[in-house]
Formats: sequence, C-alpha cells, structure tokens
Amino acid sequence: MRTLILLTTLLIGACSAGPQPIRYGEDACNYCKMTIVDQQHSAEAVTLKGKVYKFDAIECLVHYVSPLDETTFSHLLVANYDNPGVLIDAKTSSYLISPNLPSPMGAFLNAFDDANRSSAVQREMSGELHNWQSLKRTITTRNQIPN
Amino acid sequence: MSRGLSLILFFFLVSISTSVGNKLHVGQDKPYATIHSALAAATAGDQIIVHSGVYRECPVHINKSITLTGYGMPVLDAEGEKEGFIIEADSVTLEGFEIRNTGFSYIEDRAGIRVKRKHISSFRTTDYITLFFGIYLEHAKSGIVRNNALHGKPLGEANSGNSIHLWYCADIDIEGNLIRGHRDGIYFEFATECRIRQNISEGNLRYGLHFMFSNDDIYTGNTFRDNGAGVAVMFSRRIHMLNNLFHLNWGQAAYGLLLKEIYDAEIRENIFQKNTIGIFTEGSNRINYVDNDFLNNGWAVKVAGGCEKNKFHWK
Repeated sequence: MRTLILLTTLLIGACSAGPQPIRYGEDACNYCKMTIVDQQHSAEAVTLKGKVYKFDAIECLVHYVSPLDETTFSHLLVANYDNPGVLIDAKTSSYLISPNLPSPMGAFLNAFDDANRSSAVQREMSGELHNWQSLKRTITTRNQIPN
Repeated sequence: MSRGLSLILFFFLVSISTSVGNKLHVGQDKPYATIHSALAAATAGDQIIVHSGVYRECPVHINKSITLTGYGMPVLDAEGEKEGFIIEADSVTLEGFEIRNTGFSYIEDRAGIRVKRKHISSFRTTDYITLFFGIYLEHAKSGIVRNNALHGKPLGEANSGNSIHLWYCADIDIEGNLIRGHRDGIYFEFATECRIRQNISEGNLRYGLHFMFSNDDIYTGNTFRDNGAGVAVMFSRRIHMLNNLFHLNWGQAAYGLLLKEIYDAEIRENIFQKNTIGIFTEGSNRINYVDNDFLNNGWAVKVAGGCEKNKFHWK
C-alpha cells in the first residue's frame, strides 16, 4: 500500500512538469532541426502530458501548433524581444512583423509582452501588428520559400 | 583626317586616366593624421594608404569609390561599442586591416565591415580579426570577400554573431577565408547566384555554412570541420555542392550536411569523414547525390520524411 502511494505521488509529480529552460547552442528546433541560438526569438510548447517542444523561432512554433488542437497544450511560450532569454505567454503577447527586424526563419516576427511597447516599436521600425489568432492565420498562409 | 581625330581622342583618354588615382597617406608624420581626414579630401578613384598604427575613429563611413589599403597591418579599434568600416559607395576596395573590438549588442548587429550598397562592382577585403559579426553584407551586389582571417570570440555561446553574413545579396564571391569561432561561419539569407570557394570554416557554434531562402548558389572546395553541424541548406533551391570536405562534425544534433526543404540540388564528389551523421535530409526533393565518399561516420545518410525523387549515383 505504501509503495502504491509512493508510486502515485511520483507519477503525479512527473505529470505536472512545466516549461524547461532552453539550452542555447545545444537544443535543436523541433520543427526545423536548427540549433537554437537566438534568445530574442526562441519559443516553447508544453503538452498537458508534460512533453516539451522547443523552437528556434516563433514562426516555427506557429507552424507546429497551427494544425493541432491548442487545448492539448498547457503552455505556449515565446521569447520576449525586449528581454532576451525570457519566455512569455504566446496567447497574450503582442506581435510585430517588420521588414526591419529579421527573425531566424525569415518571417520577420517578434514578440512583445505589452501592446503599447509593440506599437512603439512599430512606429520606429514600421510593420504590422498581430495578436496570437491573427498571427497564426498570417504565418500559415504565407509561402515559405521564394522561387 | 580621321587618323588625326583618333590621335586626339587617344590623348584625351590618357590625360583622363592619369588625372585620377592620387595616393593619400595616413599615419604619424604623414599628410593625414586620421582616416577620416583623408576620406574627406579624397575623390573617386583615389587610393588612401593607411600606415601601421592603431586608429580609434570608428565607425569609418566610406562613401566614395576609393581604394583603402593598409600598409604594415594598421589596426582599426572599435573600442567595444561601434562598427568598423561601413561601405556605402560602389567600387570600393578595402585591404590589409586588422579590425578589433566591435563589441556585442542585442539591438544592432555590429560588424567589422558592413556593406550597404546595391552595386559594388569591386569590393575586396583582406586580413583582419574581429568580434561578433565579421563582414555583414546587406543589399550588396557583385562583390568579393577574399583572404580574410575571421576570428570570433564566443561571448557566451548564444551571443556570438555570424562571421560572413549576407542578407539580400547577389553575385558575391567568398574565397580563401579562414573562419573560426562564430555562430555561423557563413550565413546566407536571400542571397542568390553567389560562389563560395576554398574557405575553411571551423569551430563555429552552429553551422560552418548556412543557407536560408537562398537560390542558385554554389559552394566548392571548402573544408567544414568541428562545427555544431558542417553545412545546413534550408528552404532553398538549386544549390550546387561540389568537392567539399565535411569533417569531425560530431555530437548529439551534429550532421556533416543538414538538408531541410530544399529542391533541385546537386551534391557531387564531397568527402564526409567522421561525422555523427554524414547527411541528414528531410522534406528535400529532386536531389542528385553523385560520387560522394563516406568514411567513418556514425550514419552515412539518414533520410527522413517527405523526400521524393532523390537519386544516389556512384560511378
């Protein structure tokens, strides 16, 4: 009986695992296989079962998650452009696609934790603002490779 | 009569060609004390000769079609917070400098040499050392990057920059460079019809050479040794890969050559030696693999999903 309780506790412990830190220069992107090095554009998804997927660019997270059921993820996280290495909630972030701010996979996509801040950067750098929903539509309908 | 006219024309041509090309000397006890003062006095076609010494006047904007030559390897010191040379004119030649201390910033990519100009008919550089980004070409066309020694200093791994970085470029030759210790040795994004020959790219954090969204390029006779992965070709079309050595790319996510979403490529007569995986390919179509040698790799070739119409030949 005691063994059973111990085992149950261990299993619950394993299930509640949350996000993991990205090991920059070592971890590979789950979507495009590139080694993750850019602390301003990385991203992470954690499933309800606790499996962690890491991405080198926010556009890779979007491509990965869009065809899937979002409710199966406990966390969707993106790097905060203003605070390199810090991951923030993808669903509440404000996004700027600006030709003057390149990102690792060619989408020119950057995330900010606050809509006032992304608007301010937009005024300086130009580009288009998005929330999570409009971002998914925009990224998945664009052609990735030029001819 | 017509003979007389052509003679006169000939004289005109000679007098024009000798009237350009003044030499302006920079250095201690020279007519110009700083590179900036010589640049201000120079006109198109002049040569500025910079003698040995340490110059702290970064960034140096070159906005005239001139040749800038270092004698005795003068040092341009960016003092940890600036860029080195910024080329903003056509037909500029830059050679024989050591560039130091360009420093690191999240906000801007600080380069040792930055080229931002649409038509560089002759752009050459030689011999220098730098930190963070080495040579950054944006919207450059028709240039040569030859015989440079580029030594990055990884400042905490994720923070290092690329050594030779091309962004929206065309018709660039990258030859005979020695590249060490950057993020990517050579990085191509939207760079077309470029040639990469006889370079050595080693000890870089991520890739020795990296193509993103770049079409119709060729790389030949290069050595890629001891990088995170030798070469990554991604989201690109019609890349030719000939006579290269992929050596000692060893580790958990290490490949000699990583192919992802590429089309119509030719991979011919390369040597893959002692890599964890010689070639890893995914989502790549119509690739010809011809006469490649695979020696002592963990796996020679791993083919993942979405690969169609690939051909492996051995003569």
